[in-house]
Amino acid sequence: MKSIYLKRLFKIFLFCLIAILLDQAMGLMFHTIRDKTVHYPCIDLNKTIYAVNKVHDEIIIVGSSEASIGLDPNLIQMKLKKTCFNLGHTSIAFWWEVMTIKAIFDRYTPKILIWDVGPNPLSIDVTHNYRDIEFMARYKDLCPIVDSLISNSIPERIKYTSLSYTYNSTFIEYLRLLIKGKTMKNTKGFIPETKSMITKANLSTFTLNDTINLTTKKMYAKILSQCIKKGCKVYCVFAPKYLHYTNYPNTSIKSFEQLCDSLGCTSINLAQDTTFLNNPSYFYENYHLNKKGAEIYTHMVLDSIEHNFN
Amino acid sequence: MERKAIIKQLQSIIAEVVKLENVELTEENTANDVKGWDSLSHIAIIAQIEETFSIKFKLRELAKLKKVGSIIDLIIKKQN
Amino acid sequence: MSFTSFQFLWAFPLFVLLYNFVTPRFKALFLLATSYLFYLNMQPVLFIMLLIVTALTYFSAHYIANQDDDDKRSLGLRIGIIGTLSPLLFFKYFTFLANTLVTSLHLFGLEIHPITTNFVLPIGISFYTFMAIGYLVDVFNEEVDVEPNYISVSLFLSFFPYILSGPIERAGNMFGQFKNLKRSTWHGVVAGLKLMLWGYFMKLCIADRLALYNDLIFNSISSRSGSTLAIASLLYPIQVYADLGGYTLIVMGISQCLGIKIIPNFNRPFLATSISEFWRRWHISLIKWLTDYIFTPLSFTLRKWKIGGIIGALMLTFFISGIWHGASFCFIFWGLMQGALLSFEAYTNPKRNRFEEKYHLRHKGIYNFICILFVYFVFAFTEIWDKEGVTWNDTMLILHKIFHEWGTPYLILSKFLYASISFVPLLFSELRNEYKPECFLFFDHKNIIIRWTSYLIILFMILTIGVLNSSQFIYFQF
Repeated sequence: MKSIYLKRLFKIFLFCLIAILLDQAMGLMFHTIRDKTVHYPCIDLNKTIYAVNKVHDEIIIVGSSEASIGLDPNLIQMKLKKTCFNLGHTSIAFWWEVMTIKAIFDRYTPKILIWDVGPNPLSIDVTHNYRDIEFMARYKDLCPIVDSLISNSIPERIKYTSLSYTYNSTFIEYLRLLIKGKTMKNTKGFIPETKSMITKANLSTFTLNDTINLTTKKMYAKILSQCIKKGCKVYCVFAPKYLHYTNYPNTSIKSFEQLCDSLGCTSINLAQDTTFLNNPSYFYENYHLNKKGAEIYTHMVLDSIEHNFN
Repeated sequence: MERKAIIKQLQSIIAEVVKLENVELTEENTANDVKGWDSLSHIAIIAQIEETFSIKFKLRELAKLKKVGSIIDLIIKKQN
Repeated sequence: MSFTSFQFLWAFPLFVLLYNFVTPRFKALFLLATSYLFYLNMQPVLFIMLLIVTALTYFSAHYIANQDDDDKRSLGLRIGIIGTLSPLLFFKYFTFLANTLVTSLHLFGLEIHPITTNFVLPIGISFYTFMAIGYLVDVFNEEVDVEPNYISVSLFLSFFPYILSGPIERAGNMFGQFKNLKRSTWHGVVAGLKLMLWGYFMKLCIADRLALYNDLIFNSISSRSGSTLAIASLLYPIQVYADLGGYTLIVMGISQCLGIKIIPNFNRPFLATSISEFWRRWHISLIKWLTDYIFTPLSFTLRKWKIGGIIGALMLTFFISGIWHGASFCFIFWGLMQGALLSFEAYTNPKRNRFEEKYHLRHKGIYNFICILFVYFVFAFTEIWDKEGVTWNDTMLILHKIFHEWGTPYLILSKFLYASISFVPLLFSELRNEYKPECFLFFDHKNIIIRWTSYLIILFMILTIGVLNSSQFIYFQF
């Protein structure tokens, strides 16, 4: 009788052991594939590993899809005569941006950092906004900040011991990149939208949240001053929107702009610029420019940068 | 009427309704044991039984019409 | 706590462990306490409705069983049914009925403000109400003995695995088991975990994957082409099957780990060759309930109208099915469509049988395949109306676009690929279980290596393809 219990216990232990070993092996295999994609032109999937391992451009653009769709690094390169790379990534939020910035500054100091922070950076409570961790977890072995965020919570720590889980919903994208990557054009991370979905030229209104989260403000201050201390010129940009904000700029945004001033970095706020509000043809949809709009927006940002440099 | 005779008649009624050549029933059989004896054909079978044996079932007796044995019990009870 | 949440992953083994330490005498009480805590955790305020319906059910059943007079028994049954049904009718249908009345009064020129607040529905009320009514009718028909133990009755109506989304269980199946609760057995737990693994696979890798696409499309109907809507509509039945079917398997698996057997809810519905066969394989617990407590008594009462009686009974039964799914005209229309389809089949059945016999079609694979496809398309079409939150205008717009604005389809290839990869094991399993149940076994293979390999493959598919958080669709940061 006892031997049956022992046999069953052994079976459970063995099965769990095999599952754990397989999981770690699969994870390492995925890590290898992930690292290999550094050699391919950047799409969202391999932007972070590119930032961690390879990027060395003088001008770096960081942010979410507003950045990857809106700012043309090739134009910036041409005008400022410095190499530029766009590390903007869809669905990215504060912690992922910080991970990217830290990964870069650990290796070298770019001359210019352009950080798309819009539309309302201080209204988000970053200490309770960990939705990015799901996607950052696969860089746990490379970025210490991921580990420090995960270790805040025991369930998260348990979840992310599974390496294969951190690659959930990615292997087809990785496969596609490995197969098609060689024939893709290198656009330096710029992923413009050629379509325009705005068919009606009537502006919707939106009221922004007007809270100032002090911890969020502290975090931004910390990261920005670390970058500036290393000798990098930082520009915080607010990308144009095809939306009329009823309370713009609210105290939260003004507070962020004042923070930038006090730290010695420049804020370029084009969120409600009339050049864009009067031209729906510049937009892919309410929150994102199309290729034409990106060109104009990039030029306007460049004008501010050049003006600032001089 | 004898139980064996009733079973024979039930067999031919059910065979006719569900369109099977032969239906062999025992007292323990239920609708699940005969292919085609489903909720749709069940009522047709009941109506045919009523006509054949010149009896009328009541709504509250419906529950007893699930097993062949209890159908036979009811038929005999109603005929007496 | 959802069964697909991370907390459940550690809470469940702990629960099973504790269950096995409790003496058999107190196991039912332990399950009841767990079920009540489970319910309170999800919806504390309306928990009182569950308690009220339980008390009503218990005392009505006793009244019915203790009366010799037929009229008094009938009265007891009627009061019991009205009493247990009232909360469901009020919470689910009050706003709908009131607004229907308001709309009708509009037609007569009376302007009354429609009610905009929808009452929060007590969790599981659609399920425990039906189970309560079933129990009362079974006691009335003397098919089930009245249950003297209040704990058993309470547990029957609140058992946490099935209270949220069914299956709708029967008193006859559960009371006996609740009285004989034993320790979990090794084979029981292994069988239960296998069911749960497959259930999670269906729900997370297929249902939730397809939902990422379908929800996106059906939430933006006006900006989608007809071809996109057609694709989403064709995928929707698979999503529903994988969702509810997977969920039912998880429920069955949880119960199996405790040594409790729950009736299955699906039996390979997409391999049905007729609409009536489909409805014997789809949402089995609900259809059986409707058949036993609505359709059969009704068709019996209407039997003198022969096929007319059957049709009338079908229409009313499926009208009730539609309205049980939700309080809207779309659900009612959906139900009536099913009733009409089944009525048509019942009416033409003799002709169809003759046709099939004449050309020996029943055993021809190609004929059965065409029937299977036909049934699937018909069901997919009717499912356009069977969606939570869809309005009549939405359904008309979808139809208009499919038939008049075909356009180019919007496809998210990577999402489809993940869903397609997941679909392969499901398709294989369905075909194997239907046509060659003893062959190509994996989960039940004699060889332990094959069994374990198949468990691990499914487990890793869940980890790498399963939608384990809902923020997997492309969204824009605000």
